[in-house]
Amino acid sequence: MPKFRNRFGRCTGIKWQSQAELLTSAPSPKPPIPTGQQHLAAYLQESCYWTAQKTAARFSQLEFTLADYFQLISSETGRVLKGFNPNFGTNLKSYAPIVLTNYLKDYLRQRRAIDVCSDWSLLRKTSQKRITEVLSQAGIGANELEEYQFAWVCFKTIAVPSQNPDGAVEKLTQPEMQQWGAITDLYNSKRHQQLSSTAAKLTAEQIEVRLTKLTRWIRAYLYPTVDSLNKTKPGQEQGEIQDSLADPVATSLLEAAIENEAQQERQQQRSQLHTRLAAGLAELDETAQKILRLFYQENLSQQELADRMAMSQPTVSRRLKKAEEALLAKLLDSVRSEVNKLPDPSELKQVSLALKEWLTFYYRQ
Amino acid sequence: MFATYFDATDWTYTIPSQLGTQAWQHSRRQQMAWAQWNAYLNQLCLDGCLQFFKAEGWPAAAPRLVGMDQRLADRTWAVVNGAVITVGEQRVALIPAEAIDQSELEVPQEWIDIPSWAADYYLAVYVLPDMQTLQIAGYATHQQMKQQGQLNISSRSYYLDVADLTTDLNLLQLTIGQHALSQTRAAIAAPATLADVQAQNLIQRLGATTELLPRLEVPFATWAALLDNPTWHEQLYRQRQGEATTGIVTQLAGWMQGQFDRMWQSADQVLAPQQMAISTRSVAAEPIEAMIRRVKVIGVGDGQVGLLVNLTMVNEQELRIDLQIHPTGDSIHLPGETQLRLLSMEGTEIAQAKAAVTETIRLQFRANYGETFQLEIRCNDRVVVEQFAL
Repeated sequence: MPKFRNRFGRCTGIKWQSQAELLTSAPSPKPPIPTGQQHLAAYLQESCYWTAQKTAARFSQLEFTLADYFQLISSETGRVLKGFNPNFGTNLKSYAPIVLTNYLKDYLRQRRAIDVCSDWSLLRKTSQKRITEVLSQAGIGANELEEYQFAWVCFKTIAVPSQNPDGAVEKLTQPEMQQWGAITDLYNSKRHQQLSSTAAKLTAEQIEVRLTKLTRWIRAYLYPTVDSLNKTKPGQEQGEIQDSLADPVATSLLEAAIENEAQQERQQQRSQLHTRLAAGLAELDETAQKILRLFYQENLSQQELADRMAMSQPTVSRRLKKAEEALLAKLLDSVRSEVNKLPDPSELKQVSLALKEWLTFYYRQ
Repeated sequence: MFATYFDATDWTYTIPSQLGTQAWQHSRRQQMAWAQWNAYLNQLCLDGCLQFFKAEGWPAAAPRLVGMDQRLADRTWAVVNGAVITVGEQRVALIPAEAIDQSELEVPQEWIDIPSWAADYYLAVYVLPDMQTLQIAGYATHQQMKQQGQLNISSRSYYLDVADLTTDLNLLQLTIGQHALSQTRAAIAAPATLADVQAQNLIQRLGATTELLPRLEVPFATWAALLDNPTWHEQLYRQRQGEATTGIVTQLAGWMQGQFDRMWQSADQVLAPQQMAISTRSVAAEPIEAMIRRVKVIGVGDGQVGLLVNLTMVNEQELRIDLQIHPTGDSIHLPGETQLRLLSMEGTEIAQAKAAVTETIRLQFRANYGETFQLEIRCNDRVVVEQFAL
């Protein structure tokens, strides 16, 4: 693994759809990002690089380059830190790729789905959260924002697909005149109840204009222009991305500090966990062990695994899940015996992450 | 596609085409466009999840996986998104969503704050019918939804960031039923009480087919009280389906004391002699005098049918009920092919019978004092519902 330092400078080769002119972003003052987090972000660079490389190798046919992937995820290290909990004996460096890969996976999935979506389908298939983000980024003020949101709710109530989409890409077309009428009637009749008492009555044309704008803003929001590493990160306006790239001296000091922090107790915890899981692994049948090894050691995809094992992909998927389930059961037992009770449901996910991290680590040794 | 490259355990499934076709057909039972689409997504989500959980031997431990009563599902999807299944004692709500950005789990407030609706777990299920894919993004407990989720009072939903969900369903499978109620549930208030008159008024108002967003129309507490009662919920559904319900429950116990509503006439006033003869033919085991016989004329579209109720006391607790459908007046045929269904007040089917125009219908059963039931008469695409209490 090469030491990775600010190698890409400006990324120019990215073909992002540029619709930024539609957006008027109003930066608001945000609390300064803590230096500790910057250092940790730097510390995680290796994980970012590794994840980006793995993804780029896998999807060489897509339009993205290694640099794009790296840039996409290196601004997401906050996710890693948010979810990380060292109490279950996990290690930040092998935990990070799991989270980052998930992020990247999700990003690619979204891009693919959005590419085939008609504007009006996209409007239906956007979450309330994102609608709010899109409107705020477009500079829409609080009152008007609620009006847009409610017009969107009315649209979703009236404009539903009338054909069974089964298998065919859903191409919801522009609502017809009569549907615009129904959307408008619904909006106007409920506006005082849903919005403020002063909310104005809108015509069908006005509703149509607003929702058309909204669809354009959604696309623009989803295809941002990422033109350089000098881009300001949302929520971290006083520092640029470059600032969080590694300073070699700081990195090595930090690494040392983090290494030191791996206290005896944690070491012990890890070795206990290792012994239990290794024993659990040995108890699995040969096929299950082979599938796990091929997946985690050779990084085969489920489809590649299916070809290699002469099984269907759903079978591979099921076998992988069953194998992990058996190990997870062991891990849960040992956690339960340590603290004398099952962790709360909200803490359980750490146990699953600990297992995945352990499997990654175990097979890469 | 991408999921299977990276993660050993992803809960993404291909929806068999047949499931999609069935769900689509079922969903056409709903009257309103939104409800049709909502029912379609939910049916896909429910059938798909059940099929996949079973295929994966889920749960591995003993508790039984039970789906949702179809009638309950239908009346739920007419107004709210989401379904519920049970695993042993645990209730698991399946909340489908179409959003491409899988950024949050949106759970309608009904599933959180109505005691009889609340679940232990909430699954975020992304249904992508155009890709024939169903993806379970993760789950959260009732407690998490209440404590970490945000309630939006305009949309009346709780929102939880996907980052807060537990993505590994193996965990749910391994631990379901092992947590105390205090670990999965948060406290919620008991529903407000609603007088029957008030409920009937609400059903008339919110059941109007012109009311497109009934769940947002009245204060949540009122709406919750209405839905908390399965009988009212069922009536609301009937109303929204354009199926006539009077909301009047005929008190059969009163009949034993000679109290009849004027709508219920004596049999010979309504039925022609020929029909009278048919109506008593196979009840011969009972002396006709020991029987209380009343008929109500029920309009179905342009035509009408007579609903005859024969009541016989069996003992102190039990009554025998003999229900018949006859042509009325001089007509010798029913106005069309007719179906009679006996349902519980919550809409679960107990029995049914069908008849061609030239026939009559008879349905006999015993019931105890204090019990309730409803009859659904379907003729010429019109549906009329009559409710009874003993």
